[in-house]
Amino acid sequence: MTRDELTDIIFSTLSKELLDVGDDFSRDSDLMAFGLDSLTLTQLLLAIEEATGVWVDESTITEQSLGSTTAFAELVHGQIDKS
Amino acid sequence: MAKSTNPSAVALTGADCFLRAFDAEVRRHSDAGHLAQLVLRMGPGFSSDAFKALLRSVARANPIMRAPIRRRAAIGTPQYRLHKARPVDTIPIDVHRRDLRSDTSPPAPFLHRLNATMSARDGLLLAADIVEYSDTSADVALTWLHLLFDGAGSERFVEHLARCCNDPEYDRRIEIGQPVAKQPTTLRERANMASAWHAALIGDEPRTIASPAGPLARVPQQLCYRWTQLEREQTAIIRERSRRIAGVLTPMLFYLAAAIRGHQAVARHRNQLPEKWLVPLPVNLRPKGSAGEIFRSHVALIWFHALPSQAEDFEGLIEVLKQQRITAIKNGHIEAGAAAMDFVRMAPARVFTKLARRDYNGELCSFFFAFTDEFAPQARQLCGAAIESGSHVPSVPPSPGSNVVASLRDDRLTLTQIRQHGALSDEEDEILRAQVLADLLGQ
Repeated sequence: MTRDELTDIIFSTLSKELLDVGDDFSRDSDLMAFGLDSLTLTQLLLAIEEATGVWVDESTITEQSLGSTTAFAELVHGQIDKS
Repeated sequence: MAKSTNPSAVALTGADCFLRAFDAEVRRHSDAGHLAQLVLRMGPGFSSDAFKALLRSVARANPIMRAPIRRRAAIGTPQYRLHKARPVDTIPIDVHRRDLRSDTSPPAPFLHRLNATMSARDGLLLAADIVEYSDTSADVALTWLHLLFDGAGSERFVEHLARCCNDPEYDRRIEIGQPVAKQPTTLRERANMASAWHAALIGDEPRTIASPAGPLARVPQQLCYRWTQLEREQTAIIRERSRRIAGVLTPMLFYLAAAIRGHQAVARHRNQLPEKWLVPLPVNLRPKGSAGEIFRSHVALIWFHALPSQAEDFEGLIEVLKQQRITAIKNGHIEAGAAAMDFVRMAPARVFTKLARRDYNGELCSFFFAFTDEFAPQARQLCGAAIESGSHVPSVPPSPGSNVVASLRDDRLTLTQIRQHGALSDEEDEILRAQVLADLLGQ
């Protein structure tokens, strides 16, 4: 799976299923500012595991990696590469 | 704030019914109610008259704040009967005057209100107490029947009050909102989910728990509480430790682990270690920022189990809790918890509590706990004064009799210890506090 494909999956899961957001939510939006919390993050990790077979180690997630969908996808992609 | 059409009746959510059941139990056994209280410590310049007028104007626009809760024709799901809302002027708003303000103990009127009853049947759901001090500062307590707001909802309500106060044209009406839990379609599916949640409550194998008060204490409720407010430097240390040990998005586990170890220190002092610790963690199902996030509770509970041996090491305990949390979410326990509460909405209140106390010989859990993070960050000023600090006081039934709540405001942590009189001695309360602080600060 490419990084762009992964970004699309994460963005779609967040905007359509997990967050209550409108058109102002983009791939560059700060996830925590748009309501991502511990529960929705874990649900997102479950969706990623379902799509990729990889469980992202929560301890590697930082505030910076939640700064945008793109940044988060980059972190996840790095873990998929290592697995 | 978004508005919706105003129906004549609104059904209680499953979580509402769960809390209503505990109100019924506390009324029946302990001559009090299952209430929650929010305390605002206001700086100089606070106007009690402005606050009274503000609260009444918001209550006037929102009948749910004064609506009787009854079953339709005595059967079916209990409802807020909005068209029968009691008059606004009957909401108790009492003003008291004191010379001295304590940094650690609430004024007596707040405790009196917390240990009183409210009447859901008559729409008495909310009361306010204001204690004015000679320097024009004040403490304000909003006390409500716990099902009206959850903790997050009560903070959004304070923010709504602040917006209305700062802008007289701001629309007082608040959208009630719909339940957010996805409902399975069949009775069998709901029953299966309720069973799964029940299995999560039991854990891997049956073990006994022991709360500070012991099981089913049929005594008058006499709750008291005290605050410990930490300095900014101490709070910064705690937040850094929380981030490092528990992660960015799960600080609640850091505070929960400290609360478990605080109670373990008390149990050790009593020479009565339980076979395990069992603590529920409320999880809010409504996405932040969504419509209707103020009224009605949409929480589910995750059950955490910890053996005393696992609680010997603070960081090790957090790892145990982290794994349990992920497993619970993976296995759908949050949705199952919501379904379990919803499944028995039709049942009489006492059935709820009987079910809840059946598995542990009359005990509900080891103690209650909450971490509410940043307190009402959108509210800075209210009725002429700055909100200096804010904290939550969710009541705890006489059994288990102990509740630890942590919240943050302006980079200062407030720890609130709530206890039933006699459940913990003063010495034990101090042991609990000292252990919690030692773990939070890493000392």
